[in-house]
Amino acid sequence: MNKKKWLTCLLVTVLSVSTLLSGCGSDKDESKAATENGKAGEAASQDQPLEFTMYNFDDGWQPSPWGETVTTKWIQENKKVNVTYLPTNGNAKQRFNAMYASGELPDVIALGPGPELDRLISEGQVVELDPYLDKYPNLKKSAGDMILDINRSDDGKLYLVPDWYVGGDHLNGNGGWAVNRKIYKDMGSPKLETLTDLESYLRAIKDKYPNVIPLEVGGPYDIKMLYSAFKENTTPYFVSRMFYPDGNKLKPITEDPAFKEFILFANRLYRDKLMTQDVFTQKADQMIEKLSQGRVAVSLNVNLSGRARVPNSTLRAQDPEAGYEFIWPIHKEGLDKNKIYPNYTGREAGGKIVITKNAKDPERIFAFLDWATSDEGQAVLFFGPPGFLWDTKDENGFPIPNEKYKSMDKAELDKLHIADNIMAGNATWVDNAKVARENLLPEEQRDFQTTQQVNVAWKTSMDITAFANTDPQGDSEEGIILQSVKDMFDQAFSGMIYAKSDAEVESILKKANEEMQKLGFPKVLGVLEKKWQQNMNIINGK
Amino acid sequence: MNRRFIQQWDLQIMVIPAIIMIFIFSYIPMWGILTAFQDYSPAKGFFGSEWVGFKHFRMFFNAPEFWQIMRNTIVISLLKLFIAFPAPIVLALMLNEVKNAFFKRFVQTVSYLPHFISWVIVSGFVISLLSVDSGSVNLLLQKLHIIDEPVHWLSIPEYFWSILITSGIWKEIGFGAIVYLAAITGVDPHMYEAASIDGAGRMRQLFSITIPSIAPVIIIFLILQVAQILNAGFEEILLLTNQGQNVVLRPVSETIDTYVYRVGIENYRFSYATAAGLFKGVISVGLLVITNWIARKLGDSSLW
Amino acid sequence: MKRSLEDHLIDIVVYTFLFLLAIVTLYPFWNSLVISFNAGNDTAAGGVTIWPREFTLENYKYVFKDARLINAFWITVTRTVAGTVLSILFTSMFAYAMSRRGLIGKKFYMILCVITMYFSGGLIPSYLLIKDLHLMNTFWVLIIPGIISVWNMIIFRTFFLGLPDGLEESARIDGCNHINTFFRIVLPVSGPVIATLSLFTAVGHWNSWFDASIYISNPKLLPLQVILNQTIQSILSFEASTTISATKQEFLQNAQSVTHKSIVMATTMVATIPIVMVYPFVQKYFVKGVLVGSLKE
Repeated sequence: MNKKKWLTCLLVTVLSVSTLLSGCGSDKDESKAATENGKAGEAASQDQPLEFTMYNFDDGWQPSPWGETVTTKWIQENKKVNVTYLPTNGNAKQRFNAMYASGELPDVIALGPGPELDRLISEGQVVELDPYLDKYPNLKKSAGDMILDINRSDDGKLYLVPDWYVGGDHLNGNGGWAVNRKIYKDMGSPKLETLTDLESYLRAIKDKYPNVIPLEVGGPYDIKMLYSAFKENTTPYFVSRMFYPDGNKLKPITEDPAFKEFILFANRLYRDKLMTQDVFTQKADQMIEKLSQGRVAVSLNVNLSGRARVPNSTLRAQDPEAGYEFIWPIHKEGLDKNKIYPNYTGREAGGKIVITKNAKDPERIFAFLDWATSDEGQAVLFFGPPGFLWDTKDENGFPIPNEKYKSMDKAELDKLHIADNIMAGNATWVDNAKVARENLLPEEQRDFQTTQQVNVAWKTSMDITAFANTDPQGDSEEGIILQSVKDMFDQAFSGMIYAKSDAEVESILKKANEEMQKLGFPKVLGVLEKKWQQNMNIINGK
Repeated sequence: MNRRFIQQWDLQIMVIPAIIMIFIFSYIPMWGILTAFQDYSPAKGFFGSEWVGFKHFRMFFNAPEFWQIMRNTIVISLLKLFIAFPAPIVLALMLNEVKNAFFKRFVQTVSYLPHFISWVIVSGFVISLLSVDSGSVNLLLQKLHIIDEPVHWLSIPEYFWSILITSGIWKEIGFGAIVYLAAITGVDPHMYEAASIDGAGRMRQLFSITIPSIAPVIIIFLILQVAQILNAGFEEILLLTNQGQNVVLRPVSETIDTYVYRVGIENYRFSYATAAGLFKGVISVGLLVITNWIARKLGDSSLW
Repeated sequence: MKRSLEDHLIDIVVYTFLFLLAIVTLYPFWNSLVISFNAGNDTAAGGVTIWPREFTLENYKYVFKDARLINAFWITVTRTVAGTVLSILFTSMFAYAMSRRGLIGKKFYMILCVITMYFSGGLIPSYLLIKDLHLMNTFWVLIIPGIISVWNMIIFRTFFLGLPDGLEESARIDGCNHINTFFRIVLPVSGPVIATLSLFTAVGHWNSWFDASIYISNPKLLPLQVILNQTIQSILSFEASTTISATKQEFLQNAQSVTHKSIVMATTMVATIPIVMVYPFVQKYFVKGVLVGSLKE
């Protein structure tokens, strides 16, 4: 009895002491942050260079250190801006959580939609940008009111600068269908437009070339791209989100007749070994290996223009008739081929840049970001400073590469890290500028990715901006339901692909549909619908 | 009491600084455990977050996957205990039987290399080896006519545990053997001489001399390992299931840690993750105490 | 000595098994080494196994020219040496005291220690603590928090308990206090356990990246594994998420295209080979005849 009491006393003492000590730590910081907010108004004098810290929420890639590249040196000298990057060290989420908890947020954070962004906004950690929009008009001009409005929070205020927004009419996309040119020619270049064409082609390939993979997709998401072939005006995005629009309502994807046809078809391809058998287990580099070896007849992938680029040049170097080429997306008989969308574009931008309350001079920072996103800024950030790799611009304002650029080989160019520090990217401008640059070259020398994008990928992308910001917060009731639904759906999806018969597919699908109802998915959809309709109003300018 | 305390100042001086360090770095942060009973938000801080009692624990126990997660965690850990734990011991014993010094050194050095390669690279390797389209394992088995069609190793739940345990053993067997080898070198060589004079063969010597001599070391590590039973190898499972994307394996691969990572951390459900962690800690300590008590009753080894 | 049938059988089994094991464990390492000497673009085409197809030193040139990496290498070396020496010293001292019968508060201290092995406050409280201690973004944050290792303490203690009482008694008779005894008598005979635990601790320091990734922002203080981990991550995240704008995905991909598998392997080799070489040196401390076996009589 004595020992137990003693141990309990010990436990209580330890916990209370540490709690008290914890109070000392965090409280001090919270009060420090409060006084610093007050000081935020006293902006640094305009003569001094602008200095701020920035955190790029990305584990796989970090920008080059500021001041060490040609581009950033130029900005330092000409724009008097100095950025201190805080590295993520491959541990972006945890570092962020830790910084947040200690009240030490960086001045600027570049991240994507998700729980961190939601928190920052809902807990009042970021600066509202509306007061600056008219004073520094480039963002408004380049992005347009629609994109800015769609990025507003529930309270109507704008707290972020969209990064890589897609303004105007331009649509982007990197994926689609491609054929192995050599094999296609050997097979007599048959018609390859409809699902029936595709299936008979794949079967013929399997018979004739035992070592070749008829259809290489890459990963589970790329199977979902096949869904675009079964209905007009739909896109694989809906399979990922697990719903589809029907009139003004959002319904679970399991109720979509086109989804049923799609999954039966996909299952058949997998079952009959017409689709790569490694789809759930392989990594990107395995797929690229197969492409490089020419062991693929047809490929479908969300980033095919990127992945096939090196394999294409490898194969073409050995045989000019070989390599890969995009074809127009496959579709079901009777559908309008111009309404088939394996790609999709969210104009609102995949990236979001916020200025936190820790920043001493948010207005100047916004002014800089505003310059960055202007045509002039993008030219510098993407192509390098004027006079280095380009001297003049063409009639559209796109830099024309000079002799120095043309005579440089790729390895040298890579070492310069010219575009590594781009921020507040204007995807439309970058894409168009890139195309302008390529068009100056003769056709055979043009970059594979760009040509495939221009010819096919960008033309087969669907605008899904209306669904921007429709993800519930992770720890909200809807967020928790959504997580369970996702888990269930992911399992059902792979089960359906692995199924041994059509009947099995149908029974799994039926069960998944019931589970969706049971888990409460319609409730989540109700909430998403509202946001969707709000977005539609913004897009239609109401 | 106090006088005795001061009398052993030399002992206490060796202890107190260490205890202070432990207090600072392990106990001061312990308030984090209490966030399991809150709806903790880093912005609101410890004192600003709402207290919710056992809400997160209840959620955790009521999660539909709870029993599956527990089963997987325990099964994988037991497999590790019964198969992966003895493996380095067996290796050490085998190495001890090798007379050729060069070969012994060679195998020792080579066998611990995998320990130093991160799981990221090792898992990439395993996945590539077991690939259906171009993996060496399938190619080899087909060439030897053991199978006709390539096997979907990483898509069949039944094979996952074997693949997991095997790659774990492969990675750690060499490094794990180091300790036991060190222990074996400590065995008095005279005992072996005496035994062989008495006519005992090598197997007999192994069982009667070597193993009992290193038994205390084995038991200590065993106790520590048993208490780890709820840590089923988070990183390797995550990577072997393609960052959790290989969903078909989830019924056998999802453990407490991978579940918490996916549902807790990714979704910013802090307190939920902490609650699961606390649950693990409590069970582990319980197991530790029980195992240590058993060891103490059966033999003489004990952690304290 | 007569070689019986038993002897031969054992030899066959043992040698075959060990030989297979050696191949199986050596191959992936060898393969990584080969890839590190193979040209990057050629590696991406697949099929490079036991010998480089397109031999090149470019990958290593790239690695060694990276000032970041060279710097990180020295950070790791310093951290490993300093961290291991300090940790082994203080932990073993702690463990020795804990192994002496008359220590007041022994049970209390022990329970205190064991609890820390299973309960921890988590990342955020530790982060706040490090911040308050002004250890943030310093070299010492890589060493100080880990100086006392409870795991090592338990193992040391078990070993010390097994030392014959005579050892300590004779020292006490000569007038040594516990501290002197520890340094003059106990440490010198603890070769194997010190060697083993030093190796483990050193490997732990060498391979650790999480603490540095959280507490260090100054690129000059980052250890090797953080850099390596980032390099590896850049390959993994080639699978950009579907929520990123396609243009950004293309941009990221181009920015990462310099880092391919061969570079990853070269970096891995540089990060791994030094620590791998340590064991053969440590081996000679596992001397036959020293008491490790008879623990806790």
